[in-house]
This record gives sequence, structure tokens and C-alpha cells, in this order.
Amino acid sequence: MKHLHAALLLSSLALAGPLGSQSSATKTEADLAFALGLAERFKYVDLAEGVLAEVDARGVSGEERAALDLARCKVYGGVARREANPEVREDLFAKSLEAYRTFLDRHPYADNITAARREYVDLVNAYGHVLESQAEDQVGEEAEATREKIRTELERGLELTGDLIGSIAADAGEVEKQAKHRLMLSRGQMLLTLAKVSAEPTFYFATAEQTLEDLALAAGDTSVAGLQAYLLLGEVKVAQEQYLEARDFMEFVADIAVPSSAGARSDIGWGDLPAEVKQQRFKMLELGMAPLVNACIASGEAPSGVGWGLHMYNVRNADGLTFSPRGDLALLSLARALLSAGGHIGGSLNQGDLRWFPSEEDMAAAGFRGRRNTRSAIDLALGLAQEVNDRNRGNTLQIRAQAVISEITDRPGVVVSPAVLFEAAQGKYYSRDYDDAVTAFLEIRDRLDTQDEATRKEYGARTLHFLANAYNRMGRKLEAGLTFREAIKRFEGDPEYDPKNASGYLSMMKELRSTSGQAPQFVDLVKDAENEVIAHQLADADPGKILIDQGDRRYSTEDFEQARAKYLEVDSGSKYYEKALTKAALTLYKQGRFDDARAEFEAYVDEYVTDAANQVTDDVRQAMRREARAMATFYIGRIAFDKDSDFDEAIRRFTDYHERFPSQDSYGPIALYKLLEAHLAKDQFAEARTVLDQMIETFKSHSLTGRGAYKVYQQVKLAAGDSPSRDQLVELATLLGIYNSLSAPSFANWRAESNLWLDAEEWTQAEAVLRRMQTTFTEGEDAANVTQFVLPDLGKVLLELGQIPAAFAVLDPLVPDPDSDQKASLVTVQLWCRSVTGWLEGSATNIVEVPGVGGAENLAKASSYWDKLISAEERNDNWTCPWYELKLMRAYNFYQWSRVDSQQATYGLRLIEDLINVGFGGDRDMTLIGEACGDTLRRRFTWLLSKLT
Amino acid sequence: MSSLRHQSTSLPGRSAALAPNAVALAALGRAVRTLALLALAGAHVALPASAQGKNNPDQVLHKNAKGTVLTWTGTVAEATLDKVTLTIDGGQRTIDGKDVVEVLYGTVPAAMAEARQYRNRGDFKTAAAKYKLAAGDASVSEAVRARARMRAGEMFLRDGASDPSSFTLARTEAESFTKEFPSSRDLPRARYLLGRAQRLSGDAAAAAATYRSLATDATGETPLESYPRVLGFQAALGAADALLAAGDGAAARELYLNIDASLPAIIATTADSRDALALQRFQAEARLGEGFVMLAKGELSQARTFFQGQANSDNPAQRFGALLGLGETHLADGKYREAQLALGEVAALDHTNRDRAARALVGLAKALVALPDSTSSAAAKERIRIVLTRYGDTPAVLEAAEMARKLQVDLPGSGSGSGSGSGSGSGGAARAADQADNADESR
Repeated sequence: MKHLHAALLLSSLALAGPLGSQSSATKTEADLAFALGLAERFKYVDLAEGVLAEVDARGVSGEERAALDLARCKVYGGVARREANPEVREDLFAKSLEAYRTFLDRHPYADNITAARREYVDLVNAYGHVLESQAEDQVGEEAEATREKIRTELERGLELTGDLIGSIAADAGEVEKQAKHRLMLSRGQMLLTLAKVSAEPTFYFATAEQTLEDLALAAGDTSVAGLQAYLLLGEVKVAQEQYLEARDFMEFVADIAVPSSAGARSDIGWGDLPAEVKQQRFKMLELGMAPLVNACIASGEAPSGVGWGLHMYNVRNADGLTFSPRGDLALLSLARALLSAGGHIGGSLNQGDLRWFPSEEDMAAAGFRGRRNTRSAIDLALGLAQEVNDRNRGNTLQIRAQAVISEITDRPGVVVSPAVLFEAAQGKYYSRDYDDAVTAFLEIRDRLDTQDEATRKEYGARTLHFLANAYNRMGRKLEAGLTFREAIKRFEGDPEYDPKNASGYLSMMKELRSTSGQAPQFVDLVKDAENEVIAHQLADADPGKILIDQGDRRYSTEDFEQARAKYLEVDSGSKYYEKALTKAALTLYKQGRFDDARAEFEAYVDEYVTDAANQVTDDVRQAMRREARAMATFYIGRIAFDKDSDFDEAIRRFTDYHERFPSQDSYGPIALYKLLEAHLAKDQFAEARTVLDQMIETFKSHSLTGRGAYKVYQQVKLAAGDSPSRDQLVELATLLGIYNSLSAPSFANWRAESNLWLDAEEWTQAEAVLRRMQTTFTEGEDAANVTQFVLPDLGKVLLELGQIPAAFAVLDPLVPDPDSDQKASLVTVQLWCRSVTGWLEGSATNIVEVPGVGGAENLAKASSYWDKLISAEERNDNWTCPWYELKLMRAYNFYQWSRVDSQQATYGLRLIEDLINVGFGGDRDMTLIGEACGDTLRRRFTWLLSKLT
Repeated sequence: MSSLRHQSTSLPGRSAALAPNAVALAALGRAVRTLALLALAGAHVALPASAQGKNNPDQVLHKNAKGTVLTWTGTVAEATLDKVTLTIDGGQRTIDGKDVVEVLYGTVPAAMAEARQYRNRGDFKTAAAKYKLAAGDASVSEAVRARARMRAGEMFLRDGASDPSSFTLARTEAESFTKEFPSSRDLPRARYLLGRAQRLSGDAAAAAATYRSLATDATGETPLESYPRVLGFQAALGAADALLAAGDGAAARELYLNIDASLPAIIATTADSRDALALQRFQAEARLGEGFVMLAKGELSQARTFFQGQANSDNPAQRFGALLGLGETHLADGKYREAQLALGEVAALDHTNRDRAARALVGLAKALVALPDSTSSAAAKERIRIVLTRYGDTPAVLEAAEMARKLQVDLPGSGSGSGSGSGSGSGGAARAADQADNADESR
């Protein structure tokens, strides 16, 4: 499939690519770009190799040979860095490094030799990282062989690094300085890796420290390069077991990235920072967090590690930021720190105010109470490890997460709640690891022996249910059947699992009866199982249940009077009595007798239940009461809201409904939704927002949660007015996203969401929505809208994300030949042109080229379109800043084109000189542009002029 | 953030401005993107060595006056039966031996770290060799060497399912331990290991003597305070079982009765609920001893009556023990279907004793072999495979290995390495030993 797809792609790109009329040099360049595209965009190394082999076979010489050799390095190297399969990755790294060495030997005077050397060093460093990680999971000769490979490869790279760093003068320009910093960082990293695998590491450690200190000094303590240097210095110290010094470096970086104290955060205006900047800072925090927490543990100060880890976790939760793999790694370190430190954690997960306390008493003294705001450090540690486990299915982080989970649950003296153990066991079951799942469920069963009756009831039947299913999946039918029987005989009382267990019991016994040739023992067991099935699926012997059923039948035909009569027949001694009372009140509600209904519901909830004479103690009656109270409370609140507009009463009845009645999956979401509406009706926006958070946490996939999000969205929109801030845009988009995810696909709503992300310049989020639209709306009018609106937006987003080939792939089908009758919008055309030509960015003094996909034919087409765009702009006005921008782009397009067709430089030069001569009276500094449109644009013109001259 | 060591940060030997300068902020975006890409690759490949660490501080888990388990971290200077001494921030702290729950060694020699990796791969033989190497490394502390020696024995024990000669090697390691490290706080566990190794290498009489001696030290008239009582009673039960296996039914019966008689008073004064639960289970098992003595003597009718009376107990150890006895009685009596059902129940549900679950699986396999059911043969082989791969360190493995040869069971190599347990039979002590095995050298 992959190759068929690639072949189609190959042919389609070939059509759009270089044709026979092109010069040999142009064709070679286009082919090399195509090969790199195949590798970079699709990881199709074999196809890319084929293209390169074709170029080679055609015969190349001089500069083309150098370009071909370098393309080979990049094809392998680029994919190697992104490849997950260790064997393939290793092979690609080896091929790429060899290819670089060949290139460096063969083409010592190539134009791009310096860049190639730097790329080589970068690749060696990355390879060293990979091998180091590999060695950690190896033992014996295998590990030694890897260490030897590290030594060989890194020594080669290290030698070159010294020369490269030395070749950049102290007074070099900013770009070169940054390159030097990167080289120094690579050198420091390589020295550290070498130290770790060497028998005599002293020299390497000392040199690494010197290199990194020099870097921090040269770049500045708080520059990015400086911070990176300090992180590595911290790791150097860790490797030398100098943990306190390591922490000094790492804590410095963490505190610069996202200050740990509220005061310091306020000083840098954290609250007002745009979301994107927060995310960038957070990434820096993540980078150093795992080593920092590990260093705290290693220095015997696990609570400090917990503090730092919670700082990261809190920031993530409070600001809605996302974790990268580094963050997940840090969470696992935090879990280990929690395990070492013990204690308790107070605060809300969502609000990001978690705090560590050495004891439960300390936590209570600080005001943290209740299930939602307190948990043991061990429970949080397990929760974090599971969070990482769930987010990283199938990669190395999952293996590490599972190791942490085992470490926690196996620890002597650790008390883990059955809920947590059950989730972990279920994870094993769902990943089809049945042997380990059996062990895990038996472990829970064992721990239930020391739990209270309520916990045994809660987990007994379901634990045995999964245990039985695991046996069944392993083909151990007998054990499965006997386990189902155990569940039903000894842990009866779970309304959800009892019928399932009875049914499983019957199914297994029937199978065993068959394979045993109707053995009488199994015949008897089948009969017993049948009785269990009947007992758990039919009405029980309580006459109250029969009356309830009769009432329900009448209720279902909307014969509410008769239904009420039946409900009221239930005797007060029946365990169904309270249920009958509330159902009877419900019939009044259904008849529109709201005052009567409210009176009966209130009499039940506020009087009957609170009367000591009506206290119930047995489990069944308590369960029935919970059900009845849930219904009565719900309808009292609903009548207050819907009929009386008594929002205070509605708020009183519905507040924390989901916590008081956690099993109410039907009433719960409605209650919270009404609560949210009631708060909004009273202009209590903050309270409404809190309720929405509760809905998201408790009923995250319920449609009312979506509607609640939409209600809040409307309020935020109202408050934001016509010019919402960046944070408001993000909030609006998030809320609308929740609504959209929980309602039927609507082009208009999804587009509104994507527009918000676009306005907020949250490109990744925008891309996700636009991609979803692209794949969802494939027919009818919406499909046309996708072509007209979504794809151009997607192209824009991809350009913003720097995914230029991908942007080109999206936009190219939208832009016809300039001479054809078909038309594309100017916006789309301009985006397409940018994807082909690339553009210039950076400051006035630091001009950075962002290359487009290029290709002679594309550049020719783009040239024509840039001209049309200029003409279009001229219809408004000319000699304006946008007009200059377009002129610059057209000239830049000529410059790019000149790289494959040198003649084009003349046209570019002529374009700028015309401007100079006609518009600026021969002023080659183009001062007027600077005055009118800023120095950056002026400098770009003069830069381009120098390139074209 | 009061727990953080630094409220405001400065670098050693430098004065650094706290606020990032404008250049830093401007460049932050691109550089972080680059680093994040590197980190993304790290999700598959490169993760910092510090996450693996072989040089973490040692940890001593100990109980305070309230019975809460606390952790102290530092460097263990000494870990004897009487006390554990820990160096923390240059000062020394000593914990009374009886309060210590577990000692976890963070700093271990390379051989020991490698041993764990071999163990995780299920290569118990190489793991044992590596532990043995570490145990002979004079450059490491006596406490760590002692731990390595014990682990070597445990690994050999687990290797026994695929190579029975390893049981003898396990015995040798355990014997070496008792001579080399007579005051180590791991000594009681090593002595228990010795008893099990003797039993699995076929010397039930020696096992009985070893277990008995351990039981006396831990639970006798003048028990040694730092010997866990739970382990002591577990050893006592092991001694009785070994006596029965050695053919001395009378001595076994007497020992079972003694255990049963002495436990109530002990349970009444045991504060730790998990220890108390383990002791209650031991008592239930001791009560069943008499039935197994009858069974060994061939008194099937009496044994059946004896076990039937306890097979519905609410105490799971008593219930599953009785069901095992009942199943084995049916098996001896040729009532294979009844045996199948009783033993199947133990194999499926016994969460209290791995030895018993493994023994039930072997009995179930025997019953299946004798039954004419269409799936019997494959089902019997599957049960034997499970014993050999998941219960390789239990006494049942000897019979399972014999059946595997007869039934020509295909095995995917040695033990899986992920089965729980490291050679103890039942209750809390079994779990404690296993947990230590998982936790040690793991950070």
C-alpha cells in the first residue's frame, strides 16, 4: 500500500516537477529536492534512494556531484532522527554518517562544506544520544559493543567540533555566533556522553565543564544558549554525583523559564503573556525538570524534587499547557520523588494548586479537605505514572511508566487504593497481557480481604469479572467459569456486574458440559448457573418490586394516574418504598402538577429522609435511598429552575449534585447544566465557569457538557467584544472546541472554531480543526466550502508552522495555471506563491531566508502570479507598503529562480533597479522605503539587491 | 513552593539576573522548538541516564511509633539484625533492627545492576552469575554484598524450572550466605531461602531442619527480636510440609498442632493488620495439616470428611487449603471430575498462597489427563506450562517438570520473569520478599 501510494505520489509530483525541456542542472536539482521531499515528508527512504541512484546513473559532475552526495547524507540523517524502530534507526544513522564522511572527503572545497561539517557534528551528537540510551537497556558484551561504538563515533565528531568552533571569529555576525553556540553545546554534550562510557572520564568531564562554562559566559547566563549550557552542566554534575551543584544549575534554569514563586511570576507578567510564549517557556521548564527532580532524589531531598515537579504540573494544569515527551519523563521522575517523600498532596488537580505536606494533619491544617482536594502522595504518584502510560501507548515512555507503576505498587508499606490497582490491572487486561492481568486481579482480590465491606462490594464483583474474562481469553474455561461463580455467590450485590457474572457463569458451564460429554457435574452446574441468570435478571421476591414494575408499565404508556396508584400501593416496609414515593411524585410532575410534585419531593427529601425514625442501615435500602434522593433532589431543582425561575433554590439543590450522587449518569449532567444556567442567570460567571470545569471533568463526553461550554462561550464572547485579547481568543476557541466535539459536525461551527485558533495564532490547534474539516466534509456544499475556505486556511497554517512542502501539497491543487480560465482567490494565490518562493524573515539586522519548495516550473508560475498580485494591488494604489512587499517577493522569486536558471537574476535586479531609478531618484539605499515602511523592509531590499548584483 | 530549596535562584560563583533579557526571550521560541524536537526523538530513543541511576542514595523503610512506614535516605553504613546505620548529610542515624521494614540499596556495583536487567529478561541463570560476581566484589559494602549473595540464590532458585541443577546452586549460595554474613539483616530471609532450596533440590529432611531452626529463632520461647515473626511461622509451616514430604507424618502432625495452638495468642497481640491477616491464614493452614497427614497415610475417607468440613470456610486460606486437600483426595480416589472441580477452584481463585495455586494446577493437570474430555490433553499441557513459567520456584515445579517430559510440553525457554514471587509460599512475608526483590536496585 505504501509503495502504491508512493508511486502515485511520484507520478503526480513528476508531472508537476521538472520536464524534459529543463537543463540538466535544473533537472538534477529538482530530482534531489524531490528525493529529499520523499524522505522528509513521507520517510520513504527506499524511494528516495531510487531517485538518487537514477541521478547518479545519469552521470553528474562537479557541483552536481557534491549536491548529490550531500542529498544522500540528508535523506538518511533526516529520517534517522525521526525513526522509532531501533534497528532501522541505527542503520540509517550509520549510512548517513558514512555518507557525510564521504562527502567531506570528496568535496573539501564545496561551497557548503562548512554547513555540511556542522550538520555532521549535529548528527554525531544525536547518534551518541541514541546509542547512550540503547546502552542503558543493554548488558554484557552487547552493552560494551555499544559503548565502543559511542567512543568511536563521538571521538570523530569531537575532533571536527574543535576545528569548527575555532574557525568562527569572536567578532563574527549574529548568525555565525549562534552557530558557534550550537557547536559548543554539541561539543559539551558529546564530551558528557563520552565521559559516561569511558573508564577514565575525568578529562572528558573537565573539558565538558570548561566548554559549557565558556558557552554560558559568551552567550550570557539567561540567553537560550546559556540556559541550555546550564542544563547540560547540571547533567555533567549529576554524572559526577555532585547533586547539589547539579541542582544549582538546573534550578536556575527552571526559575528563569517559569519562576516557581508567584511573586517572581508576577514580576515577569506571567498572567499577561500570550499562550504561545507560555508554552515555549514551559517547554524549557520541562527540558530540565526530570534531571532536576532526579538530582533532588539523589541528593536525599525528595520533597524538594516533589516541589519542583509539582511546580511544573501545576503550571501545566493552571494554564492549560500541553506536555511534550520530556514533560512526561519529568512526571515519572515526580512520581518517584513522591514515592520517596511519601506524605500527602492537597489542592485541586485542575486548578493547578497542588501542594505537598509531610502528613495528613499538616494538610488538614492548611485547609485541604474532601476527596477532591486531598490524596496521598502514593496515589498521586500512581495517577501520574498511569497518565504517562496512557499517553504513550507503544513507545519507550510507556515501558518506563509501567516500571514506575510496578515500583510503586510493589513497595513495602505502601497502601494503594483498590481503584488505582484496578485501573492498572485493567490496563494489563486491555493490552492483552492476560498472564500479568491474572496476577494483578488476584492481587486486588487479596487486598480486598483487608478492606471494609463497602469497598469489597464495590470492587469484588468487577475484579472477579475481569479475572474470569482473562482466564477465558487464555482458554482456561474451567477457571473462568468457577471465577464467575465465585463472583455471583460471594460478591453478589453489584447491579452492573451481577447479571454479567451470572451470564458468564452459564456460558462457561455450558461449554464445559459440552466438552465433558454431558458430565453430570457440569449438567448440575449449568442448572445452577441458569438459576443465577434468572435470579439476576428477573424481579426479586419483594412484592414492592412487582408493584413498582406494574406502575412502570403504566408510566411507560403515560397513564400517570394509574401508575401513581400502583406506586402508592407499595408498603412502607418494602425496600422499594422510598423509590415508590419519589416515583409517585414524579407522576405529578409529568401531569404538570408542579406545585404538588415539589411538595411531595420536598416532603421526602427534607422531612422523611432526615427523620431519625426512618434511618436505614442495610446496603440495599441505602442504595435505594440514594436513588430516590437523587431523583427527588433533581426534580425539586428542576421545578425551581424551569417553572419558578427560582435560581437560588436551583443552585442550592444542584450544587455538587454529581458528587452527592456520583452514580447518576442521567440526572447528573442535566443537574450541572441547569446549575450552570442558574449561575449565568444570576450573572455569576465565575461560578458558572467552575461548574463547566466540573462537567468537563465528570461528564466529559456528554452533549450537555458541550452545550454548557457553548453557554460559557457566549458569555466570554460578549465580554470580549469586537477585539478580543489573545487569551480570550484561546478561551473562546477551547470552549467552542468542546462544544463542537460533543455535537454533530457543523461546518459553520467548526469554521468558527478554526477562525478563532487562526486569530489567536495557535497554528497547531488550527491545523487539527482544519484537518478534521478536510476529512469530514467531503460531500455537497460543504465539500466546496472546504476547497474554498478550509484548504487555503490550512495552507496558511502549515506555512506558519514551517511545514512548507505540506502547505504546497495542500495549496497546489487550488491554484491553476496563470493562463487558464479557472481562477483562484488572490489570498490563495499569495499563499501558494509563498510556499513556492519562500520568504524573508527576521529583524532588520538578522535577515533569515525561509526556503519554499522551489522547482523551476513552480518558480516560473509563481513569478507570473507575483506579477498579477502586484497588478491587483495597483488597482487599489501603488507605491504603498503592501505594494513594496509584493515587489520584494517578486524580486526574491527571481533570486530563487536564478539558483536554477542564472538568467533570472537579471530580471530580479532590473525590478529593484527600476524601483530605485523611478521611485527613489537613484538612491540605492532606498531611504524612502525605510521612512515609509520601516527599516526591516528597506534592509531586505538592499540585502536582496546585493545578492542579485 | 515552600519545600523548594531555592526561593530565588542564583548560580554557584556567579551573580545572575533573574529576569530573562530581551534577547533570550526573542530567541527562546526557536531554540525551544529545536530542543523539543530532540526531546521528541527522545520519546523513542534518548532518555537521560539519570533516570536509570545506579548511584542513588540508599533508602531505609522503617516504621514509626504509629506504625506508619517512613523512608530515610542516605548511605547505609551497616545493616545488621540489631540495627541499620545510615549516613545522612554527614551525620549518622541508627534505626533499631525490629523497626526496619526494608533496606533498598541505591548504590550498587555494575554487576548487580546488570543482574537486574538479566532478571527482567527472564535470564535467571546469567542474573544469578552477575549477582554472584557482585557478592564477591570486595570494593563494595558488606551489606550490599550480602544482598547480592541472597539475590544470587533466589535467581538460581528461579532458574530451577528449566535447569534442576540450579536448585543445588541456590542451596550453595544460601549456605555461603549464612557463613559469610552471620549478622546481616538479610539472614532470616537467606535462611528461609536455604530451606526452600533444600526442599526443591530434593532434600526435604534438611529443609525441615533448616526451617525448624529458623522458626525457633523467630518464634520460639526466646525469639530474636529482629527476626520477623511472620517469616518464622511461615518457616514453621514449611518445616511441617517438608516433614510430611520426607515421610515423617507424625512429626509433621505434631508441628501443625503446635503452630495452631501457639498462633491465637500471637495474633491477638499483633498490631499490624496485614501481619495479623497473614498469621490468621497460617493458622488456617496449620489446622489443615492433619488432613494432609491423613491423605499421605492413604486414609482417604477420613481425609475427605476432614477437608469437606472446611471447604466452605470464609477464611480463604482455610477454604482453598481444604479444597486442595479435597481435590487431591478425589484424585487419589480416582474421582477425577470431582478433583477437577475442586482443584480448578484453587487454581483459579487462591490469592493467598502461590505454592498452593501451583500445586493445584499440577493436580488439575493430572485430573485432566485422566479424563476423557475432548480438550483434556491440551488443557493439561497448558496448566503444566503455566506452572513451569509462572511458578518455577515452588515445590510443585518438581512434579510439573516430570509431567512436562511425559506430556511433551513445549516451553518457550525458562521462566517469564514477570511472575510474582521469589520463593516464598504464603501471606505477607511472601509478598514482602517479592516486593523487595522488585524494588531493590531498581532506581
